[in-house]
Amino acid sequence: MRLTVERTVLAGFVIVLALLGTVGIVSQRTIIGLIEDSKWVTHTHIVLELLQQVSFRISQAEAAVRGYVITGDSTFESQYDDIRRQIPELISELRTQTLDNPGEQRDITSLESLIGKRFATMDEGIRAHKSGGLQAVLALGKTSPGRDLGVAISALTAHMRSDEERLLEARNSRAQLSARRAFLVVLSALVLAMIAVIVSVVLVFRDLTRRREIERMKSEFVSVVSHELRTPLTSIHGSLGLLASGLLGSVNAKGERMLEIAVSNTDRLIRLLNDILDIEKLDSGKIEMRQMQCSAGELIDHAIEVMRPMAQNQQIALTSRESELLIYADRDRIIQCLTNLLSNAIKFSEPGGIVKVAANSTGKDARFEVSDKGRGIPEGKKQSIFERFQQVDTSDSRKRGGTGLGLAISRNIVEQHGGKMWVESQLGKGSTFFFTVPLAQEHNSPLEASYGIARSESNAETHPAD
Amino acid sequence: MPKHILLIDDEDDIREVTAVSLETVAGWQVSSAGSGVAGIELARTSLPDAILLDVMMPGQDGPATLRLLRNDKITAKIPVIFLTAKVQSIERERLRAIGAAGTLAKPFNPLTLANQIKEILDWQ
Repeated sequence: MRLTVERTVLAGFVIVLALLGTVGIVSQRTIIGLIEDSKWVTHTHIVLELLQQVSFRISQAEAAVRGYVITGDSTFESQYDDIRRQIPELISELRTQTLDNPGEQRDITSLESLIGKRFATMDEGIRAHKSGGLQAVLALGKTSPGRDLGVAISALTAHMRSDEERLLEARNSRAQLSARRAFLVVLSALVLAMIAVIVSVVLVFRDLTRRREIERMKSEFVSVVSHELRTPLTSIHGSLGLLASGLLGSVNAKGERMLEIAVSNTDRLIRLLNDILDIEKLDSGKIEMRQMQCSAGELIDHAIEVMRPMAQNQQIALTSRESELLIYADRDRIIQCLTNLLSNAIKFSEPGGIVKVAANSTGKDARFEVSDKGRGIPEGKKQSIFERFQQVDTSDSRKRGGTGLGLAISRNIVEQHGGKMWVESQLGKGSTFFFTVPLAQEHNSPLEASYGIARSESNAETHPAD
Repeated sequence: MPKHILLIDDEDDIREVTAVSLETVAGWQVSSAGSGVAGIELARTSLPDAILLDVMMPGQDGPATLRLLRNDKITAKIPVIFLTAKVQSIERERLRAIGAAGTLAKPFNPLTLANQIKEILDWQ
């Protein structure tokens, strides 16, 4: 189920990405199209302007010629010549602008020839005036095709303008259509992307809720199982303890050994049960760290007191340095960390060995250290030993009676204090475990007054099996 | 004069083992009841020096039984120690707040149980 949700969400995101990609491509194409279209609009306007210019110049030329034949003033003649010189330039510009349109090119050729003819008639008028004055011009006027040519030129330019306008209209409507289409594509892609995102989010939330529910059920299950196991264990542990004590009568040496094995394994089972319950509660955040100002030295002394019987049993000396350090921590939980570390250090020391505990200020926080001269930890295990059920040697829990949870629990406790736990070790020379907790300075809570009572209780908490 | 302890727990085996432990190790006299109701009745008639009371029992549980013992003039002064499988300090404080003299965690050590009771009740 988990994998399916992850796949669906992944597929959702791929779809969203693809849709957004489509939106990008369509938008880019539409924009390029619109830019192209706007170029065409400009182009059309240039062509229209040029046609206008041509018509205007021709009328100007006609006016100049009229002026000349009426007044005989040579200024009109030079004006006419100027205009005449400008026309080929305009025509050639028109040709360049309509290179893509063979129909228009043909029209321009016709226009050019009509204009040529028109100018020829006007030249003729000027020449007539020069040889025979106004009379000659008027005589020529009757037969000259000038007038008809003017009409033809106007008709042709009008036709060309309307052609150009029609083209523009067609381009505009094509552009509008493609913009509309692009808008629809973009809109539907965005809607689909939104649906994909919503579906993914809903799936993720549903999955999270389910996982939380499973987590809750697991934690409840662990809690119930641990309680249910405790009841029969109480009877087994009690009766075995009484039998092994010899108070109820003696058994032979083999029987005594069997009872000893039974008792120590029941103890281990109880420790395991306590640790499993502990780590489950720490993990699910059910245990709140009740931090208050307390003395590091006092916590160390207390932990040493708890562990002294075990150390004496294994002929290990426990030593600590005086510490005046005040820390801000949950005292029972820090004692639990210290006893866990001490218990490991004792377990992995040779008889006659020494285990040291100290607490120092690093300026920023308090650093506790527990060091032994035991067998050390290989480089590759320095991280994994803090994981659940990960020991340096898998046979350690059987041989040395640990649960494989002590370091995981301790590190969890330290981390909930905002501290860190790590190990420095050299194979064959020993290990030092460090952890940090906050110093008390910035917290102004009073020193726990009732610590005497708390102390006797924490015995029951850290070692309910003793 | 040996101390007289009343043990209220719904688990027959736990009652038996606890009784043997306290009788053998400390030489105390132990009577027991399998439910809160029977326990209160026995407490009224035998007036024990202390009561060991299981927290989780079907029907009338430990805290309810304690309340009834406290409300009864005859049994109001008898110290009660809870036996609990829950070892969290919050749980211990909750039980102390409703009037328990102390709490003992299950499973307990049969050899030191009597001493733990003495310590809680300040018995010499």
